Amino acid sequence: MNNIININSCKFKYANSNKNIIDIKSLTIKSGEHIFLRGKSGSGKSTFLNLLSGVLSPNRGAIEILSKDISLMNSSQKDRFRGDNFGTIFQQLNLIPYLSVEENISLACEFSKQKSHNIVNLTVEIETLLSALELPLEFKSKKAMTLSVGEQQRVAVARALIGKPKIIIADEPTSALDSDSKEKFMQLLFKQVELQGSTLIFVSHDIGLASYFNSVYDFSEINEALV
Amino acid sequence: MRELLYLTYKSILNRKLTFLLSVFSIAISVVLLLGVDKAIKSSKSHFINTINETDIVVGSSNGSLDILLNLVFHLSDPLKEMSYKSFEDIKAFDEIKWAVPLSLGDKFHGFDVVSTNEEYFKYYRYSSSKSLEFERGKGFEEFYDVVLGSKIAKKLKMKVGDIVHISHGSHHHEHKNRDFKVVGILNQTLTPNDETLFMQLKADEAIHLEWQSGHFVDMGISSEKLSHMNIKPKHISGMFLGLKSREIILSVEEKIENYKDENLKAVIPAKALSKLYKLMKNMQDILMLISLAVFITAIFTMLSSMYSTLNERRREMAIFRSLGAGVNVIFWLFAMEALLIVISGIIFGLITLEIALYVISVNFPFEIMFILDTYELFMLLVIIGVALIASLFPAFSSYKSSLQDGLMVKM
Repeated sequence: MNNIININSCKFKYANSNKNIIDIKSLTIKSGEHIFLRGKSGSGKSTFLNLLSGVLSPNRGAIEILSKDISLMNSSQKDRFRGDNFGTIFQQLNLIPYLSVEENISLACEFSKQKSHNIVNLTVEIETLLSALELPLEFKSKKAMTLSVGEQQRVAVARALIGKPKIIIADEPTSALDSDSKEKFMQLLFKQVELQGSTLIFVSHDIGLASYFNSVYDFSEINEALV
Repeated sequence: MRELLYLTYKSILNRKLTFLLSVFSIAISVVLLLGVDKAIKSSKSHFINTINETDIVVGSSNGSLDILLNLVFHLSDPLKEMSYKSFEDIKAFDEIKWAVPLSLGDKFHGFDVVSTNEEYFKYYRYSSSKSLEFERGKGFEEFYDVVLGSKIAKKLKMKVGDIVHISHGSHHHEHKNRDFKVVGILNQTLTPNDETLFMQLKADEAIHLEWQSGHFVDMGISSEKLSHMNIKPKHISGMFLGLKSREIILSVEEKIENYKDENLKAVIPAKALSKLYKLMKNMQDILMLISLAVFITAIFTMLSSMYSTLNERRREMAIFRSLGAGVNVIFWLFAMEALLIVISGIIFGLITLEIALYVISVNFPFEIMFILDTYELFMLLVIIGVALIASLFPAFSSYKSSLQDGLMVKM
C-alpha cells in the first residue's frame, strides 16, 4: 500500500503563543488505512485536523498528502485540495439547517469540480448513498433541521462520501449518539468507507470504538509538543 | 457565484422575518430622507409662491413684513388704513396693469373676511401661476354675494345658496340684519385663501354705516335700499398691484413710497416671502436630522440582525470550509445577504416614495418633482454607500471568525 499521508517534523504554534501546540516528528498513514486517533480535549487534535485539511499551515515541516506538500500551497489551492480530496464528518450540526438533505449532500460537489466529475448522475448517487445508509428516500427533500441527530449524522456520512474523496476525516462523529445508534452508525460508515476504498481518520476519546480499526494511535504519543 | 446566490437566497428564506424587517427599516429611511427633502423643497416653492404675479403689495404701515403678513396671510394686527383715494390715484398710474383693493378686519365663524372686488379672483395667482378657480358657483354679481375658501366651506359644511352673517370686527357681534348669500366656493389652494370669506368692498362699507364708534345704531335702512345707496369706501387695508412690465418694479416701488398725500409702503412679495421663509430654516434642519437618525437606526437594525446570527452560523461556515470553500466565500455569503437587504430596501423605499408623491400630487395642489434632483441623487448615493460599507462589517467579522475557527468550531 502507498502512503497517502506523510508528516515530517511538523511544528505549529499559534501567533499569540510561544509554545508549540503541535510537534510531530513523523507520521505515516497508508492509503485505505482506517485509523483511530485517541485524543483528549486540549491535546491539540483540533489543531492537527485543521493542519491536515489545510485550514492552518505548519510553521515548520512538511505535510505531504497524496504526494503533494500542502504546506507549500497557497490558501485557495489548499481550499480546492481539501474540497477535492477530503470528506469531513463533525461531532454534530453537520448540516446547513435551511437546506434540504439532497442540497446538503450535493453541496460537496458544488465546491469541488473533482467530486462532481467522479459522479455520473448526482441524483442516482445521492439515492444510492441514502439507501446504503438506511435512510428513506423521502428524506431527500426534507429540511436538514427536521431530522433527528442520528439521521443527520448519517446524512453527514453521505455528504462526506459523495464524489469519492480519498480521505474521510471523522471528528467524534458518534459522541452525540446513543449506544444503539452508535453501533449502527459505525457499521454503516465502515461498510461505505470500505466500499469506496477511502482512508479513514477517526478521532475520538471513546476507546470502546477502537476495535473497528486496524491502527490505533494515542494522539499524545504522536504529538510530542505535550511531553 | 451561482451557488453563492442560491445559498444566500436559501439563507434569507430561512430568516424571512428578520430580512423583511431590515428591508423595511432601510426602505422607511429612504422614504423619509428623500421625502423630507422633497417636502421641504415643494413646501418652500409653495410658500414663496403663496402669491404670484402680484408685483407689489401696498399698505400704509411702516413694516413691510406687517403688510405682507396682514394682506397675504391675514395674520398680524390690523394695519393702519390707507385712504381709498390713494388707491384710486395709484391705480391710475401709467405703469399699472391692474389694482385690487383689500379690506380686512371682520370675521366669519373665526375665519377672516376679505373685502375686495371681482378682480381679486381674476388676478390672484399662486403656485406657478395657478389662478383661483371655483369648485362650485361663481364670483360676485349681486351686492350681498360672498365667496368661500375651500376650507371654510368644508368645515362649516356650506354650499352655494346658503345665507351667512358677518361678524363685526373680532367681536362676536354679527351684522344680523344683513343676509349674505354664498355664490361661489373656491378650489383648494393650500394658501390663506382657503380660510377666507370674500365679500364685496362696497357691501362691507355699506353695512358698517350703521356702526358708529363701535356700537350698532339701527338706522332702519332696508337691505334692498342699502344696496342701492352706492356708498364709496373711505379707507382700505391695502392693495395688490400688477405692473405692465416687471422691469419697472423698482421705480414704481419708489414712486409709491414717495406718494405725496399719504405715507405708503410698497412691498415686493417675492422678495419678502423669501426672507420670511428663511425663518423656517431651523425647522427643516431638525426634520432632516430626524430623518438622518432614522437612517442610522435602520443601519443598526440591519447590523444587529446580522450580528445576532453570526455566532449560530459559525458552524455553517466551518461546514462550507470543510467542503472546500475559501474564506472569501464566507465573506461573500454574508456580504451578499447584507447587499440584498440594502438593495431591496432602497428599491422598495424609492417605489414607496414615488407612490406617496403621486398620491400627494393627485390630492393636493402642490407642484411635485417626481424625479430626484442632483442633491437628492447625491443623498441616495450616500445612503447606498453607507449601507454598503456597513454591510461589509458582519461579512468581515464572519471572515475573521471563520479564519480562527477553521473546521473546528469551539462554541
